[in-house]
Amino acid sequence: MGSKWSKDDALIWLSGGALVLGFLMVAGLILVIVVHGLGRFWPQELTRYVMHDGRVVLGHETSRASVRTTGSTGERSRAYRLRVRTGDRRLYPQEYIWLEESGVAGRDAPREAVVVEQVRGGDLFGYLDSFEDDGVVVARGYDAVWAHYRERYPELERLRRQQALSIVLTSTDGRRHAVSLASVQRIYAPNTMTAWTSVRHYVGSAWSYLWAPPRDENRLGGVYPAIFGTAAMVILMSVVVMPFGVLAAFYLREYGRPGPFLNAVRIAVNSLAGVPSIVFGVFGLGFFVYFLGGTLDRLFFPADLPEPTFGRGGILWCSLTLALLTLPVVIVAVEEGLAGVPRELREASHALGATRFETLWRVVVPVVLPSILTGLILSVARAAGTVAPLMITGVVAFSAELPVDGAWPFVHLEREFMHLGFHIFDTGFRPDGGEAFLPMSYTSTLLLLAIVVSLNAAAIGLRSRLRRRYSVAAA
Amino acid sequence: MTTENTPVTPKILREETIIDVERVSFWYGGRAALKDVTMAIDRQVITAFIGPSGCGKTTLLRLINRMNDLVPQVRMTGTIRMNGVDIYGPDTDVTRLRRRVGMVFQQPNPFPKSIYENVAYGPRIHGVKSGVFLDEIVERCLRRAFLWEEVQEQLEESALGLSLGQQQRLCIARAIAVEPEVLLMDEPCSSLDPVATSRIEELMLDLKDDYTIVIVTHNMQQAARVSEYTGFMLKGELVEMGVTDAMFTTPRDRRTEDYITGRAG
Ligand SMILES: Nc1ncnc2c1ncn2[C@@H]1O[C@H](COP(=O)(O)OP(=O)(O)OP(=O)(O)O)[C@@H](O)[C@H]1O
Ligand SMILES: [Mg+2]
Repeated sequence: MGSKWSKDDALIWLSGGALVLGFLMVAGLILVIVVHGLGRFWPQELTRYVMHDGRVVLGHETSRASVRTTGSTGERSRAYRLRVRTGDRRLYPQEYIWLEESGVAGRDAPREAVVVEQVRGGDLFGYLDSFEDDGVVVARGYDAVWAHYRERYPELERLRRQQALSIVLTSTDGRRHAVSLASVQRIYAPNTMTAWTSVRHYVGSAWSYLWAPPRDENRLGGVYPAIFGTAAMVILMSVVVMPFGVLAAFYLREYGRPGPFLNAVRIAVNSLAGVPSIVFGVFGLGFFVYFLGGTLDRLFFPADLPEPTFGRGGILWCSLTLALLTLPVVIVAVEEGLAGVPRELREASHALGATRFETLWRVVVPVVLPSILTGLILSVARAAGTVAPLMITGVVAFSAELPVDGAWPFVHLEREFMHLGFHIFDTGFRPDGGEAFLPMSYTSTLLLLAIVVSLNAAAIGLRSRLRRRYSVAAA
Repeated sequence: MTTENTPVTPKILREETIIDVERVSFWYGGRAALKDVTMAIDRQVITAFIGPSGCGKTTLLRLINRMNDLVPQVRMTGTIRMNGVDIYGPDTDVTRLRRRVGMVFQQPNPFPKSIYENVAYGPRIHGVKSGVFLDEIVERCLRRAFLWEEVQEQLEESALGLSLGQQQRLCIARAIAVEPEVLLMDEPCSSLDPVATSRIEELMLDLKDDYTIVIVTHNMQQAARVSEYTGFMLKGELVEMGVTDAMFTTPRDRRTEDYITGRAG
């Protein structure tokens, strides 16, 4: 008996431990994403490192790594290296450099250090030198230039078109670099910022992340086109998947005669849910893009051939592919809802002389409406988080055009589009200079996570509302 | 309301008979639930069926408005006629039949809609569109079910907020809103307390002037209180059927006597 007890105990500890471990891992992952994703908008202090060898570096530390060194006499010691972001490559040879911590003679935070965010290209770190109009200096020195810039900031949009205005920065090694006002997104001096201006800066950055187009190959700027593209695709997908899914579920649960055929359909639906998403992508590419799209092109756009119109990846084909992918989600949710409709309700309706259709339409549908919504939300959450099949059916890393715009016919279903999930992939896995893209990747991951989690939470909320409704009925 | 033009001569030709059941047997899958039941139900009286659990009372009741059509894999033999017309005949419109034979279930089962919509449901599906008409029907039926006074202020609120007794009276109002001839009640008081039960009984006695009521009950006092005729069922058979008072005082069959005196069942 004793050994039996200890076996039980071991099992409890094992499963409990696995649960805790899993929970900690998820919590840790979310914490990392939240810290990196949200911390990015906070203005970071610019540090001036003065090295023993006379070099001066301006930038901010992104990480600190320890390295083991073996001295000439064989003794081991531990040294630290700093990863420092030094700003745009136009001013410095590399955006990120390593500094030996032992080589740093001193560091301070000069108040005149500024960050210039460019419309195209990255952020420049330097000191304000002068404000020039057509090569003529109109202001010199930090305070004067700053005042000049602040004065003009409200009309920046208009001034941008005047190529003549420019701001001259000096780098830490004394080189001068003129930035045309046309390419200045905004200038700020992080070392002079108060808590209040930092908060304003933070909110402004976060806002423009949501509503601005990307800059510098998705490294900076916003993700508005990706949000828009994701939303448009998901809406299109819902429009397709909901009628099919709901009708299929009604057929399976209400009209189909139980038997081998219905079982086969159920097995097929369940298998569909288990198919790897990339397989859907391959099917979408082969069937939708090449076959359907190619046929459409031959029938309706022969003039443009061999340049394809619908015969290449586009938002329509992505939506249809995802509709297939999420079909089982909808069917299962709605079937579950239908199974939960009490038999007594249907019988009450039939007993009043209602036909089968009247019963379905007036009694069953209102009761399963929450389940239908649950199915919709779950499928949207699934669709918003799926990337692999889209990569071969029409998603691109960068697109200057939105799938909906002011140009006739306003909705452009054949266009390639940006997608939040693919944006994460694109910014997260750059082979060269990858770390410059990582902050963006973290923020977009956080955004996508937030969207998916809130959609799922909505689904759960709806479901519990539904349950409560029945508990009243059963009371 | 009877427009059937193929009159079939019923075996039991009595003017008062509205429903007659002739040699009906019924199976769920392979299991017999009714065995060779023959009986007649009279107009505008209350007929009660009593018997131990599982003896087939509900099954018999549900055959009268063809609710068992909704159950898969069942089989029936024999004939059930209403006003002399075979309700399982090829010409019968099941929805019309159910409209003429209303049903109140054991558990109150109001729709998860407003009180108003519950009562208006039947008239609506039978084509009443005018709001004034519907208002009038809803008020009349709720009054008839002795519920109007209690709910007239909250017609737009959910029916699920009512007490069980109120819900059951609402279900009765909902059933009479389609103006049936027969009202089938399957243990309508089994989930109610004595006060609510006596209200429903009062209601039944009031309704029998206009409707033929068939009630299934476990409660013999209830059968004795409200019904004119009583049938006693056992294991799918209709053992005995007759005038209620006679049945409770001088049962003809030993099994009935045993059940009534509490020696069996
Ligand atoms: N839907 C069904 N499927 C299979 N068997 C059923 C079904 N409904 C009832 N039965 C069986 O038929 C027999 C008669 O059932 P029925 O519900 O008519 O009894 P009852 O007299 O109403 O019992 P109670 O007093 O408990 O309500 C029972 O043995 C029951 O198990
Ligand atoms: Mg019963």
